[in-house]
Amino acid sequence: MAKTCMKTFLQRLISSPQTPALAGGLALQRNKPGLPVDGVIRILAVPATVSIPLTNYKREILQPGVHAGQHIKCGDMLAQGIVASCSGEIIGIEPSRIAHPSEMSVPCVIIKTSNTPDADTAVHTPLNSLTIDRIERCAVHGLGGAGFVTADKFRASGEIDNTVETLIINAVECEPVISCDEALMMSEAANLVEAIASVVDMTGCKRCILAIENDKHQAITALKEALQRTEVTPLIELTLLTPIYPSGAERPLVRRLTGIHLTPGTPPSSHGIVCINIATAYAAWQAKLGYPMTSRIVTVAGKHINQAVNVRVVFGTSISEVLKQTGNTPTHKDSRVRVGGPLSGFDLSDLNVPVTATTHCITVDPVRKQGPVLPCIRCNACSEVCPVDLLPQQLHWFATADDQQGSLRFGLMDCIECGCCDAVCPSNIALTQTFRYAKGLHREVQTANLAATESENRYRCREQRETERAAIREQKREAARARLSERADPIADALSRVRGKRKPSPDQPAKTSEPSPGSSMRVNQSDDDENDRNQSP
Amino acid sequence: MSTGLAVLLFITLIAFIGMALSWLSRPSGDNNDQDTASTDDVGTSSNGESTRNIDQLIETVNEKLPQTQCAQCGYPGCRPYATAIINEDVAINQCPPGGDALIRELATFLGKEALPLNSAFGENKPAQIAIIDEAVCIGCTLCIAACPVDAIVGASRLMHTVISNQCTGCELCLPPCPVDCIDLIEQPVTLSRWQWPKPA
Amino acid sequence: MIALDTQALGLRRQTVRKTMALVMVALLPGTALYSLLIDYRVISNVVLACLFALCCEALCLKLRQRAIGPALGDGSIVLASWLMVLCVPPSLPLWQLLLGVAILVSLGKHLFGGLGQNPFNPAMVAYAVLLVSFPVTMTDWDLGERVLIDLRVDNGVASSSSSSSSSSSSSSSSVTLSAEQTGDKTITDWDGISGATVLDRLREVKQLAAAQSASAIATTSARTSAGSSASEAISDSALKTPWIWLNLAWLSGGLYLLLTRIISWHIPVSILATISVLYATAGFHSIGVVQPLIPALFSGAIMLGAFFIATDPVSAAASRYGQLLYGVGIGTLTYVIREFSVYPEGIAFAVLLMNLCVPMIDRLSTGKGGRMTLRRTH
Repeated sequence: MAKTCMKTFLQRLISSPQTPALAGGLALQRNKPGLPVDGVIRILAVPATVSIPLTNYKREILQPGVHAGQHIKCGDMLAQGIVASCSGEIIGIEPSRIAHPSEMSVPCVIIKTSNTPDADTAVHTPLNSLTIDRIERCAVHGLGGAGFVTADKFRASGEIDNTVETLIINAVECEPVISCDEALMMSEAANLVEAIASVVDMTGCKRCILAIENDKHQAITALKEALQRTEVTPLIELTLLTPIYPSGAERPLVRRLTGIHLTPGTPPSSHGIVCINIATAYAAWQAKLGYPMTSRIVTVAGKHINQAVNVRVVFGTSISEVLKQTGNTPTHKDSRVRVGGPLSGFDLSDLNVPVTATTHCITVDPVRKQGPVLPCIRCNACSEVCPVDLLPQQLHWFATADDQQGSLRFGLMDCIECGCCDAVCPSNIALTQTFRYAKGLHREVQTANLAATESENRYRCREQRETERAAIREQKREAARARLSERADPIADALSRVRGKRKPSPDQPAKTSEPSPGSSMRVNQSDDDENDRNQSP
Repeated sequence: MSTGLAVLLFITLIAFIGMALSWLSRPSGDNNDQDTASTDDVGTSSNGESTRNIDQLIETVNEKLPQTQCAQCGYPGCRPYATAIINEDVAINQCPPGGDALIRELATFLGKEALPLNSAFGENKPAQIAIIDEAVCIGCTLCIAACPVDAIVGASRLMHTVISNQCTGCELCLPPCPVDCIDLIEQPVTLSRWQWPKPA
Repeated sequence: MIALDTQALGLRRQTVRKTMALVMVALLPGTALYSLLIDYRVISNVVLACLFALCCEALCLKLRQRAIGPALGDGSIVLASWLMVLCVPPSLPLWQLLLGVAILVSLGKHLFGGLGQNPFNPAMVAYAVLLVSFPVTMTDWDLGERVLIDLRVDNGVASSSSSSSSSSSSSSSSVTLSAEQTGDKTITDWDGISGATVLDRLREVKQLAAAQSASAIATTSARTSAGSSASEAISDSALKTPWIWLNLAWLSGGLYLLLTRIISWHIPVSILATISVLYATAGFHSIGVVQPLIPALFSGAIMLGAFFIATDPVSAAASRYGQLLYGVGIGTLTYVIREFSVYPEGIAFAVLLMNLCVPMIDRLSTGKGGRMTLRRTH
């Protein structure tokens, strides 16, 4: 108790612009047992088959541009924004489970990999300076856990006021159990600085901040050395942050570094800020050199892990394959395999799901019994730790009652689903899950409203069309009636008209009003002749 | 004498606190309700203004309705029903697709009582879409004419099909079909529509 | 399956049961001192009340068709009934005490929906109902012979230090007062004095001191000396009672709760600060000088109320800003009720009145868009 007081006091004492503070959040221990901190990255062998899901960031199903039986090479476009992660033959495009909490299946391109070592050959020609098009062509996605299309991020910022003011390189790990970025920094600091420099050149930003936690000493030393040897304008500011979870999340990080409050309605690009993960910057640099983004570093950690390790995995490798090759296939009966950490991840029931850009960590932990859920006692522990200044207590009341307006008033859509409130609630209430549900409900209502507006538009168009047609029909009827009233003997005229049209032959019986096969059958689509025809006997 | 003064002070104190609190918590300008129509008072004649206000009311009520155009309420579309609610004070519990949520919203907006859904007009079903069995369809275009939102494409003696994301599930296409080839299915949950379930 | 795995974090997590247990631990020294110094019956009252509370809660849960096990196990009703017993006189008839407990469980808690739903502090609801229903027995504080002797001595001391001309008259007036009430019996023959806690005593002493200073020779020095001696009298009389020690015990329990982070400092500090400020600035109206703070703060139930009763999270304000407002309100109302009403102790009604204001305070004290304000940063 006294030790924590002293530590907090000292931290506040040394808090300076160089170490900006975060309100809320949890000071989590880095899980030393079961966390690989040696900086070694093992390269996983390319598996026999890889399965690439045909979904984008918005979880929409994409149309493939390839077909089964086609031979493809590493880096070939499979669909909009998706490239093949290795060469081989496409053995099928079929629904397959993906690593997602819904456990749903989406169409995936199944590739039987060939043995050619193509990781070392550049697919595209190296560029002198990085361009957004090249980033897009190499299908670079965010490697921080969200998987946003990086090219769109740069484009959005450029569109607003034609400039990127601040570039934030996020080297803060998503959760304490993850060390993939740390391993990358420890092993390839020089390349990383070059990567950041190339992104800085591309964006032409005025300020570049490299944010990292202050307890990653080896990584910091390596980066400092590399920064000293490189000349970049503007200078890359290495900012050390106290390791408070969730500093790795974009919104608290941007607020911590620049003081700007972001909301879902104001993305970073509206303030001229681009925030990318350090591994994404590395992937962008690789794109400049001509290599598409085909793999990522995955941390395999947890209490039930035999050997915690950081591995470089080709996209499409199944998680069971990753665990097998690293010697960590779960043997305990009560293990839970999670993608991501304890707070921001989700469990997997089926391990045959492919690794994608968002799979930053695989943890295998024992299943622990959760305590009983008690009612909320308004102790306010959740509000104390919320990093985006929300009141989870109030949100909980409204969200559980499905009160959209109340939840929105307390900032439901600003929730970043970090899980801090869950971690401290003495009543064991599943707060984050309730908020996720409430946000989903809100999105559904929004979608339904849009669909309703669309339906109403279509209805109005139809009504208008029908009214116009009825008016035209009425007009024609009036005209015909007028014509009719001018004739002396309308019946005789009609009969002669009909006889004039038909040429009855001896073997053909007089036709009734049976329509010929070629003519269209008119039901309510009005036609000029219909009225005249109807008057025939 | 001092006791009386004390009582007076006490009452004044409580009254002051009460007034201060009620003034501080007066309703503020921000309104999260998207459905509330804005009321501009650009008006020429009083008659014009009242018509405009009524139009705005009808528009607001119409925006709350689910726009399935199914005519289950007894009116040929959602806007006629909205007009009837405002002009003829028709009951607000006649819309089955809107369900109880809609009734509550209308009750709050109009200051009326939130009655339960009138089952004489139908029951509230989950989101559904129509689907045509192409093998059985004979291409008669009767369903195309019946669809209030033009969600069926096709031509005479050619294949008919329902555009799934335009279909409102109003069921108006089922009766006209002479071969009964149209079915109603629950709207399938795709990955993009998946949402987290509510915790127990 | 999809749930967050918060237990993998290895955080030392607080639970409702642990919270209640720690608060009960904090109450132990005070309760022990209470039984030693004031009346040993408080122990039996606490035990009986808690057991009866558990039975009532089981019955209420059964009527509400809820699971009985987890709700009984979280200890909240035991704590609430313990607090209620500490507020009522130990000589309260058992049936009234148990009736109070029944009201606490049913009207104070389960009527509103159980744990976490009650807008009013259940202990104070029960106390208020008992006070209004049984005013005689609820104000029958048997102060004990030792206390009486001290007070009588203090009265003698007070009268002797005032100006000589009125000394005999004032001392005789005090003696005459008692003589009138009891018909020539001396104080030592009485079994007890009716009045709620020593605050009533204190009020009488204050009135006597005021009478003394009014009848003193009209010179400023005499008046001030009379006033200061009166304040001495008050402080002496208060300090010599065991209630001081009891309140110190409550204070130490409260500090323990602060250290273990069960409660935060906002409510207790704001209550005590407000009361201190009010007594310091406005209290001189009765005797012409500033009233001493220590007796004011350490008598009655302010310490118990500030640290244990007002900090009940369910009925208190939620945000830190709101808690400060809440504390200020309770302090003000306590002072007003103490000084200007017939009730010598105001904290119970003050807490109940401020509980009424909590929804409004919560609404006002959250930032724009319902945001949290006033928080420590890392």
